[in-house]
Amino acid sequence: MSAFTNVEIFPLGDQAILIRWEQLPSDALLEHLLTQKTKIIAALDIEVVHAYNELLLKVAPGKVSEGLIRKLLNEEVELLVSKRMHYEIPVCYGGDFGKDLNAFAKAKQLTPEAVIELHTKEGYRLYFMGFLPGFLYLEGLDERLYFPRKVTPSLHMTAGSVAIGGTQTGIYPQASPGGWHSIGRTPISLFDPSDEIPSPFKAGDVIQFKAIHADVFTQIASEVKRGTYRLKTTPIDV
Amino acid sequence: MSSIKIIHPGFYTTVQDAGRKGFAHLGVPESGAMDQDAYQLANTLLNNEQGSAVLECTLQGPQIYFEVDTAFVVTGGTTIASLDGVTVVHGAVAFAKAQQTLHLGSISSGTRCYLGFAGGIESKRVLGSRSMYAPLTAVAVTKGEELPLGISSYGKKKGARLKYTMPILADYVDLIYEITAFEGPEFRRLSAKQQQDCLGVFTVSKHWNRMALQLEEQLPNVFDPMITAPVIPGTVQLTPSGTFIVLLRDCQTTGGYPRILQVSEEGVNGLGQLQKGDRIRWKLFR
Repeated sequence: MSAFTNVEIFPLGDQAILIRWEQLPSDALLEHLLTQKTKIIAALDIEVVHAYNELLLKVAPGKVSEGLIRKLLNEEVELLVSKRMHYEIPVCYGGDFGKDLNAFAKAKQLTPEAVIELHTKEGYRLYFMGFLPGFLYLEGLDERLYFPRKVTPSLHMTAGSVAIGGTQTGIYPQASPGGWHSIGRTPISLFDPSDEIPSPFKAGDVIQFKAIHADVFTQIASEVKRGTYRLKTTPIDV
Repeated sequence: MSSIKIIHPGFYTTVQDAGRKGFAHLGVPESGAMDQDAYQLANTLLNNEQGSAVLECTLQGPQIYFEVDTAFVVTGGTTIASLDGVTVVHGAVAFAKAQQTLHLGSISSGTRCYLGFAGGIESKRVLGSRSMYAPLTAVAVTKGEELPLGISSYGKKKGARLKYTMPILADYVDLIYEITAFEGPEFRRLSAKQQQDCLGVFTVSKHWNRMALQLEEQLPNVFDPMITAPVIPGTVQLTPSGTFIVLLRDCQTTGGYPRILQVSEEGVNGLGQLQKGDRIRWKLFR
């Protein structure tokens, strides 16, 4: 924990407070941020949002002193850390499901099969959600799949599109314009606003893609529609 | 149960309230009325509970049919409102009889007006809020849609007598709106010259909506790319091409551009009344 003591605390206008860590993003920093976030929420009962190396406290800067925040950050408490989960996300790659797969593979001088292999072999750590409701910021893309975003974004990325942009991979939770390269699509719903828990995923969880055939996609899609589909998930042993 | 019916939705009319709190960690925008001052005033004047939902009307107001006798009020941007041909005073509670129709005209001063009803609009809540934000809800109200109203408490207890003054909406052609802002987290990465250039006059570009407004005047920069970080309504981002993007109520929860300024809460309300061609200057509060 002592590795992460160097923080800056400053107001964000008259609406919020930011806490920024100097370190580069890492799994260790993520765990530290999540611990600190839990402590702050418990002590102050305010909304806190985290990203790679910052916590945003939704509270007027006059209401909470920097001293109090530093005291909270330095407090050693035993926390009940919720168990991290491993999720398997079924994806149908290529064809109409991932229209950019062939061009992407060609540009990377790989076969489409090699792209799928590299994309599915390891799980990705979920750092946080942002950009769109239910959009997952995932870390761990194989360097061989790094590829600049499109210069001109596509106007319509179908909901469920699995894509690569820059050093990141992700899933479009809703239909939207997007600058990433679509390599596949998942039939599962990533965000259901009618559900009390709209997204099953939590920061710290691991998301792993699994290649499926088109007929399995159709089958899962109909199960999702009926509400009978259950994501395959296992607790991660720490 | 009382309700109103949308005869014509106007240009872009949405149900809005105090906003969707507590879901930013899932990437859900806050939303809520763009001009929270004008919105809260409507609820106060009607003796509604704070947080009640109203209609936010943009540029051109809607036509509303009243199913039952209803007290209502128009606040925010000014428009000519008429109830079966009789003019309704802006900012004063008026009373519609059952089967009367309210016409709102184009908004002549400001950009958005708020149409509040006694009892508040009781459309379905999504994640704790009635604020419309696609894809969580419909994009806007539509022709023929009926909206249920809650139980009016107007006149049931003595409300505070309010002196109503117009917000920053005077429509002088040459007016420059001064908006209070604070240094953003990345402000100090600008050179002294660039910091000074931020304090000039800026014009709202054609890109303006509930998510953000972009400014015409650019500021060339060579920032190192930054990693994605939290943003809130009022965060002013500077893109690598030099464009300022001022985030507003429907903005995303994280962003990857340097956060140069942070507009005050009061300033965010004011920005909700601006549109293409309006000119602003930041009043930097250090």
